[in-house]
Amino acid sequence: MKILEINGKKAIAEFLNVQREIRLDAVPHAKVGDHVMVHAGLAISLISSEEALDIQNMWKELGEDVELFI
Amino acid sequence: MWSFSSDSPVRIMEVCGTHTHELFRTGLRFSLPPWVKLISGPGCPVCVTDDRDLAKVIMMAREYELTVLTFGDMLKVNTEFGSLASLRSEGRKVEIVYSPVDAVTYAKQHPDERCMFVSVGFETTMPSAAVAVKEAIELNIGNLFFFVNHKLLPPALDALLSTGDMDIDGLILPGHVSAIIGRRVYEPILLRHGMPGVITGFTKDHMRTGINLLLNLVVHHEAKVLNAYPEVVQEDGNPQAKELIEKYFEPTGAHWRGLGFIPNSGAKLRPEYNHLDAEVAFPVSEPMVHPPHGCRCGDVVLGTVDPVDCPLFGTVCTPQNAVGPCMVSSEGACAAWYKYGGLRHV
Amino acid sequence: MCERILLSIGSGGEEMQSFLQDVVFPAIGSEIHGDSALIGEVALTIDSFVANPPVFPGGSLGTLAVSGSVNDLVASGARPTALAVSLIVEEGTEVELIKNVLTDIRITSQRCSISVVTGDTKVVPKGAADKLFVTSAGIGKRCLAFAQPTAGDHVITTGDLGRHGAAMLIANNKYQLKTSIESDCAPLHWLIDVLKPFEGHIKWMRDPTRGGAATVLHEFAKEFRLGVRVYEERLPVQPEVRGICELLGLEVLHLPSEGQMLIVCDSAVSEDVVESIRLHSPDAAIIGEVTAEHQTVTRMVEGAETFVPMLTGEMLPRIC
Ligand code: SF4
Repeated sequence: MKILEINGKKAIAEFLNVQREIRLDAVPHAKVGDHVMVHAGLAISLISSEEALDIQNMWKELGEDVELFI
Repeated sequence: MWSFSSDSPVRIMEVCGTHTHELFRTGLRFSLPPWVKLISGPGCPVCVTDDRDLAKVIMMAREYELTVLTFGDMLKVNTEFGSLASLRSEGRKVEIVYSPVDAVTYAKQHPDERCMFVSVGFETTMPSAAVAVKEAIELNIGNLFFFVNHKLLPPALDALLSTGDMDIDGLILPGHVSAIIGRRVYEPILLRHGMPGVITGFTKDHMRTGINLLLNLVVHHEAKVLNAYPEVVQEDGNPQAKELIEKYFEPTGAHWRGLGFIPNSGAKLRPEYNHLDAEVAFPVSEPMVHPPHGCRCGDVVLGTVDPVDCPLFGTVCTPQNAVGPCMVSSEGACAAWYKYGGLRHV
Repeated sequence: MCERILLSIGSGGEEMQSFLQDVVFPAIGSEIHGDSALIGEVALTIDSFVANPPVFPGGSLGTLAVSGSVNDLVASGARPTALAVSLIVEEGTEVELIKNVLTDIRITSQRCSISVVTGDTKVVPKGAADKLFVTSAGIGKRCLAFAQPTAGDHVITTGDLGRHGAAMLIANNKYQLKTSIESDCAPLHWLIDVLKPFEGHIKWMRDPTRGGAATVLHEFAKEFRLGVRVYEERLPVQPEVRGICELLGLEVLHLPSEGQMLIVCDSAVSEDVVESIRLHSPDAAIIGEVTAEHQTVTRMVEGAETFVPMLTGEMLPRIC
């Protein structure tokens, strides 16, 4: 969900135009505009888009003969 | 280099119930090569909750006239003492919440009711439950008590992998639990058992990537723990979330359906918060319960049998008339097999 | 079967089916099917309405009561002619609420040019009802006959799905979600005239209310021993409704609509039928087809086919 506004430990977050109050206790550095993974009303992780690139590296690490099975 | 076939397939376990469900729902399950067999694991919190714990909740609510607040899937699990749904039909209030913090709000708005929040789930829900405890203390809510029955994944995986007859080649590790506990904690456990594992997200693409990585590890006999969900999962998880958990909860032995008693595999409130502990406030005698007759949920969460191997599956036991929790919970393997099973990829 | 009624029976899913089979039909001594009955050329329907809250974005119990009965009549191929409405009011309910609901009954019935010809009101002690329950009965004149469905027929929706259910989840604020969607609750009285020119090619229709599109399509599959395949990418669903489903872990095809109809018709005319419906309801679409392969409902998502389960139990959010 995307954070729209922050009020201390609480925030309003949005997903597909649907808003809900969430808690930020576990992601104290979250800023307005950040995307967070929300579970049972609590943001449990900041979603960083750059890290998705790590997957690419992981593939490389696995060596030459990586196969795609599905 | 490798010789797997549909007769001696690669057996990979999706530990988490949400994966079970999503693999069916997105149809990805049916696109797997024939030499891959998916096995559902113990990662559905409702399914592994022991009957005696749920029976206790029902007894407490009856005896002390409590309003029960909990997550949706708990509602229909049946015990010899009834279910939360039948409790509600007897006139007790049973409220479903989206977040544990909503239980605090409810208690505040209903000062004349004694409320009990039944807190179940793995590490994923624990920080949120911790915030609810914190909030209840800060707002000085006097009428909310916590029945804490959380389960911890790493000790359960260890126990699972230690039961000799498991025959699993790799683990699809849950993305959300890992967001809290991180990647590193799995390493000693999985490596000790020579078991590869990949932390995987829940969209079709995430699952495709995770399973591809895992199959590569399996066919190359590489026991590694990879994180295929790095945008959400960090090496050591979420330190603030772990802090919240540690501040309010402490490990305790827990009964798991299927796995039995595992030391330090559950969590309860720390003694400082005894005054909020429902089990302290509303003592009941330990209920005697027997697992539903004929139900093989215990083996299903271990992955030793497929739901269809249960003689009750689909005949006596269906989602609207569920015998065991694996059929009740929307993440339960039996429910997923019943709802989506049997259809081929076209 | 339990000795007490569980709330899940009322969700319109499988529990309701077994309740009807095990309790209702044996007790009344006959099997009742469909949302309305034909007595000669007269169609008769009756429905009770509860809503929490009774007034919600997009309508009220009043709009629901009229639309519900009108749509049930239309589903049986009848043109609605008159309604009867009865209220059960809880002691202490604000008069304002009753006025609002009755006004909506008037406006909605005027919209489809039918009148409320009789009614009844009972007041019950506080606690014996939740503010207001409305029952409406409708009669209509049969004017559209249905042909026999076969494999290859197309499945059409008159508009976007699941909006009423989603709007109610927002309006009762149980899960504290906020968004700006309104219930789709509306009468489909115009549909009969739109479909009349295609008579002979129209095979079946049903309004996907309680239990959502999945439930009525399962009923179709069971009744005709045919299958239904819906295509995920063709389903008209508003983003907000998707958002709510994602956040709460709900199946969009389980959410009720109160102003839509699912229609099975000959594939040769389906495009034309959709065109004609679009003049009244722009989101109309062909969402799937009838198959002979299996007697159930399936969904195609990115080349893979999976079952669409029927709703079981109450619609509740999942925890993981
Ligand atoms: S099918 Fe039912 S009885 Fe059999 S293991 Fe699953 S939940 Fe238990």
